[in-house]
Amino acid sequence: MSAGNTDSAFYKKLKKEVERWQTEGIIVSGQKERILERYKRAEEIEEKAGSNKLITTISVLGAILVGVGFILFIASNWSEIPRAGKLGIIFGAMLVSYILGFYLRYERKNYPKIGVSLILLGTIIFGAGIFLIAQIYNITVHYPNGSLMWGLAILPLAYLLRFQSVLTLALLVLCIWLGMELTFHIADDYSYIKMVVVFFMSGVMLWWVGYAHKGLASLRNISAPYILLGIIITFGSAFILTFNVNIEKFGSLNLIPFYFPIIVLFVVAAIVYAATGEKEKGWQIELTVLALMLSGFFVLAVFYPDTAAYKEQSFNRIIFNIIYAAGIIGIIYLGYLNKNPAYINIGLLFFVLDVIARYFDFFWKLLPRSLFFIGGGLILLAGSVILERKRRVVLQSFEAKEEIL
Amino acid sequence: MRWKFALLVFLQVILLVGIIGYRQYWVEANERILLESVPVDPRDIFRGDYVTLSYDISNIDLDTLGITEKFERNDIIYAILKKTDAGTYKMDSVSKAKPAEGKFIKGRVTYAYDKASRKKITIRQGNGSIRVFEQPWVSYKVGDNVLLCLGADGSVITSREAKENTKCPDGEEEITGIVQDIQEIIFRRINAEYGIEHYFVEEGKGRVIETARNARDLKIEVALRKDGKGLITALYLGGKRFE
Repeated sequence: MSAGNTDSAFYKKLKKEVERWQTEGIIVSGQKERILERYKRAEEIEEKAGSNKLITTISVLGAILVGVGFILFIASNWSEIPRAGKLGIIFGAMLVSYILGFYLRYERKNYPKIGVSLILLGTIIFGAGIFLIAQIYNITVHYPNGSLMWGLAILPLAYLLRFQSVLTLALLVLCIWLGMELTFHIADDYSYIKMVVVFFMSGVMLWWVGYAHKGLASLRNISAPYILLGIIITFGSAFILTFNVNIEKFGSLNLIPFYFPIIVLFVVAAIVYAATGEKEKGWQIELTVLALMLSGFFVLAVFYPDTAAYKEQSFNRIIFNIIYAAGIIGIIYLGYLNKNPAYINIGLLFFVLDVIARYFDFFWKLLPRSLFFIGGGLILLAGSVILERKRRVVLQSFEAKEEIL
Repeated sequence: MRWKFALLVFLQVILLVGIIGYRQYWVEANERILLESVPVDPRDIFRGDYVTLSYDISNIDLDTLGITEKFERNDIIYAILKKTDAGTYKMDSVSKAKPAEGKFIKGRVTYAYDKASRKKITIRQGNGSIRVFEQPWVSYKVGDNVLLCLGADGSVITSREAKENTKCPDGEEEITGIVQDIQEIIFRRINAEYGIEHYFVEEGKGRVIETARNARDLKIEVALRKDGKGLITALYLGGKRFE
């Protein structure tokens, strides 16, 4: 790797490390300056031109905006463009952004971040192309297939290039496919809790597939989208189940084609992770709890779908709420254990959502409207102060621990 | 790296071209039939970028057809078609089992109602003649003076209380009279979709189609595969072809 290409986060870490090397006598003082000099440019560039993260965010946003604009352009100039012209624009735009992106990222290497965003734009235009072609030719046969093709076709690209952005897009598109496809397999109308249960199971699976990626050195840097999306989907679905939704069935035999692949993928991911070297702290408990949740929901969905159906305010709701609360404590604890701020932030987010939801549940009818809002507002204000302080303490303790180690 | 990247992008291009090729092959290799279509909302069918189309196979009255088979949402069904004198195809029957021969189109049940209802209304016209019509629902009561607008096939398209200045659109037959009786008929009904419910309209062409719409002669050309899967290839409105 050339010295000029390293980012400033690395430089900051290196600075700390080099300090330690010197105190431990691994290097002498002159060497320290020389090592730091070699990487100093990255920090200088950042100071003058804004951080790497900022550039990435801006260029990814740019790619998304151009992609959306592209779709709107074709849609609103529908009649003026002949069929061949529409196809020409789709293929042309897609190839240009792929090739230009690749050139800037890997050949010239002078605009690597823009290169990544252009390749992301290529994957967006490809997806838009699927739907535009379906429109041009009036193909409306089983429409979820469009999303499935989009997601599956860009997934290999994410692996080849190790791009988190393309991987995130692929996973989001596949989640949308799952939602669309599920509606074709649910016999009684709009029983969305069955879908939520499938999403919960998928979230748990994605979460652990992410761990399997983390365990394999070559895939470590694309593990984050799986883990974060997995955790968010898991907690998001669990959050829905904390409401009074128990009047519906949990699952159906029609959905077995979904349950099984999810469980198989989870098991494979668990084996892969267990077999690889470096581990997260507390992973055995994490895996056990998730495996229990997954099998619990599977048994509930397949064998006892009626457990709570048509009983209002049932016992199950209390159980779900307890499990959800325990899950939040668990994820925050894991974040603390592994010094992972993302876990803590997600945990706190879902904690706040829970507080708001339960406040509405219990006090909406009991209090006069004005008191309800004043009380709710005060709880939120007080809560945010406590959370912010707690968060800062936790994050600071990470830094402090690093110093001690 | 460069070649692997090129290969993956090439595969994406192949996939897109494949979709087009698949459609072209489907259209070329299979017979095309004409289905008569009813616009879902006859007052405003060309809103947005596509037209929603409905057919006689879209809302099926099982009791009238004498079908006792039970249907559920998402069941795969086959609507068996027969040719009319006009050269178009209409529904003959519907079944969950795939027919061995003949023309049929494959679809999916979107709703199954055990207790759908429609109204049977008796009207006495000004000249004293009594006529009977059926409507999904009514907005008037016995004794009201009503205006019914009938389509080419004699079915009620719209109905309302008869007032001065209320008229039916061109091409629709007008019936006015006093309502004598309203009866409710309970029947088993399924709604189904066949993948031929949306026709994408190019913005400029939408207007042309809209003005021609009053002819109420909407036919859809469908490339029908042997296994019953259909795909829209064109739309005929008042004898004009739109592709």
